[in-house]
Amino acid sequence: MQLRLLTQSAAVAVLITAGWGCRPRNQAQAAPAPAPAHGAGAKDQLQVYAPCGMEAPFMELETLFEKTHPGVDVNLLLDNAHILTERILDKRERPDVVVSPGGHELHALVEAGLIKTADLHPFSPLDLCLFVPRANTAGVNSMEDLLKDSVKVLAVADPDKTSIGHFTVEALTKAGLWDRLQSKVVITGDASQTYKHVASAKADASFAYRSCPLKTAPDKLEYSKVRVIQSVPENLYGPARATLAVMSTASRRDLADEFVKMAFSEPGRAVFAKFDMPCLPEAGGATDAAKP
Amino acid sequence: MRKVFCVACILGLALVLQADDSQRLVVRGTVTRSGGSRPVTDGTVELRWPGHEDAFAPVTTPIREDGSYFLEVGTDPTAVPTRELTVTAMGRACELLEKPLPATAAADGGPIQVDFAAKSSTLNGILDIFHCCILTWGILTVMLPAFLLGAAITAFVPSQAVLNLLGPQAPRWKAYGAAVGSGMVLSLCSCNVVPLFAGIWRRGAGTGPAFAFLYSGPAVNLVAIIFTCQVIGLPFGLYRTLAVAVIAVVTGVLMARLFGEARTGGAAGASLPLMSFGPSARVTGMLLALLLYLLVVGSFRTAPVWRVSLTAPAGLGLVALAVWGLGRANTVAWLKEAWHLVLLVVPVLLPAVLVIGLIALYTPLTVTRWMSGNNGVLANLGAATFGSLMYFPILTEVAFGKALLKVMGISVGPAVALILTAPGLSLPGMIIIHKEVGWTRMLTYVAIVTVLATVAGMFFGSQWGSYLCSCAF
Repeated sequence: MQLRLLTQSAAVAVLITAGWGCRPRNQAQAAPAPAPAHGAGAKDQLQVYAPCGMEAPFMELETLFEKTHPGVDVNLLLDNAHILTERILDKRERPDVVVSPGGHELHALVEAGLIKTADLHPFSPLDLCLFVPRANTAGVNSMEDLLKDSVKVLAVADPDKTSIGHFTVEALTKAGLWDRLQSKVVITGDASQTYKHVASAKADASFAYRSCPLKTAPDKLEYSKVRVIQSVPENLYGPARATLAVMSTASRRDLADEFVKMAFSEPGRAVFAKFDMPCLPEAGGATDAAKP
Repeated sequence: MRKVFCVACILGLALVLQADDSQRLVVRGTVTRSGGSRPVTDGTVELRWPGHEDAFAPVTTPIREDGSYFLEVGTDPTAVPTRELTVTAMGRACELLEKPLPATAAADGGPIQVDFAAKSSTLNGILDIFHCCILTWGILTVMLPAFLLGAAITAFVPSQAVLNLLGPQAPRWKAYGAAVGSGMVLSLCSCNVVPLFAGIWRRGAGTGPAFAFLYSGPAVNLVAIIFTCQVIGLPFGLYRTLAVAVIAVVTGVLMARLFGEARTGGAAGASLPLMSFGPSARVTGMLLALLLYLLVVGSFRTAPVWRVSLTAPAGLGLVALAVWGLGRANTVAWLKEAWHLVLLVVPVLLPAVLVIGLIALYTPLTVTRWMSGNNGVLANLGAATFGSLMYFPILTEVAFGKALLKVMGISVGPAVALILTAPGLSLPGMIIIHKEVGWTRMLTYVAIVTVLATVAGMFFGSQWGSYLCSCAF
């Protein structure tokens, strides 16, 4: 009897400990916000999935939207864009609005019929640039320098899942470098991982968008540990455009449209501009450039 | 001729005036070591526009022998916003330190003073890896109650009764339950599970429960599970517990199917003598509850005032319970067990953490790139096999897994596969085990666990995505 009681206590103790004692501290790994609540006094919910690299502008847009729409609660979920896509596809989560850097991540959602092409809103050009560890011991001064023997590791985000990886491979291929760099390439799960490898000098070079996340989520980066070498010529990739999309399954289509409208209004554009993401003049209406 | 001269003069004057439009920035200061006035004598200071180094070429100057530096540069305020410029001190054997140019820079026009107090970078690169999870004071408030909780369970839950349930006569569900749960009760590590397994094997324990016990014993160690939650994250700790239980039972069942459940010979069916010891169940339950409370509160990231307010009453209650509830003999036994656990773990863990950090820092990414961004069969199988061959002292598998995830950027699946095989299997352990059970059983057991851990790693990797350390981004 005593044994059973103690064993059960121990089991309960461990379960509670595991469940309560060691909570995740990473917003990116947190569970999604609860489903919309509809009841007396309950606020309308708008679920927005945004890449963690655009944390700063979308936090401001969230505040701005809630201020202009007092009855609405914006649930902003931040994570890597391809993780957000996987959550929608595999875990059948259904946000109202999705944002992606480069639009490549949204391709799968369009193919799955979850986003209509007309609902894709490319809004800001993204400048792909080559960056290296601050010390730049490999002596990289151009893309061609990646072929040098001193460059041992080139970190590249997964080209199948991320737009940054997709455009990196596209640019290096068009420059005639990709095949010759194969022995140096380390594919990482996401763009933030490549950044981390360069910041810690584990990789000699990588590619990132100049403004995202270098400017839009500075608190998450050790920017003092890297330096930008050059912009990748525009004719080698893209166009890379930060893209905002309304899901076809949006439970509050009206609010989602309102959010998009607000994002491309003057105050919204000012927010993006503040973080070096100037909006395209035509932003707010779908264009061919948005098509993946 | 005179006209030409006049035009040249005007043009020259225009150029000079235009040059005067550009802003001359003079930056000076000193670089000293933090915590004193000793100057940094070797290194450089750099003025740059972060993120736009290709538009504004960084300007560097050496640090002089007295630690001072002097930078002078002409900038065009219309092209380079002065408020976005930064100054960085890069002293030898010092942490890199970057500061924004003071806001008054543009207005004053005079020299701008920017002084640095640079921290020494000795070992910092290594310590940085674990500064958020292991090498932090916060870990004490979690791990101290964890050690006391583990010790309380070991000291006051009669382990003989648990081990007796592994015998061939015991009902199957009880036997497997005891095999899986025993690791938590016994606080085993990968080294002391082998002799214990040999003991119960010789007494004729059932094949299935015995092998389930051999695997799960060190793998669900209570302290190790809590450590996993603390260092890598809650879902990893939870999944580890669940996966170990499933792998242990499946391994046991498969081994029993392949080699037969009941065994004869030796002291088959012999039981360990049951001893009555420890305090009453009520007192033990209260003790476990208090320790659990301290563990949970200790993991909260709250202000110190709140922590003290929440833990002080429970701490006092614990002392009162130890004095009046447990009694002197039980308290001494409990604390001795806790001390034994601490001695078992800490002297190995701390040097191991430094060694792991060192290895992670200096191992090229190309070594582990087959596990990076890859949740395939080969990546998971490779990681599981590596974990099953290497000997990992208790808890070091967690630190190793964390370093692989955080520094080497391997995928989540392979990291989980490694953590699942590392505590329960090792080459030295295999050599000892084969003497008890023979090569066939031993190799079959290792193969089953490795394959199951591979599957478990792949499953978790496919569900979780990428790993982001709480301090890393």
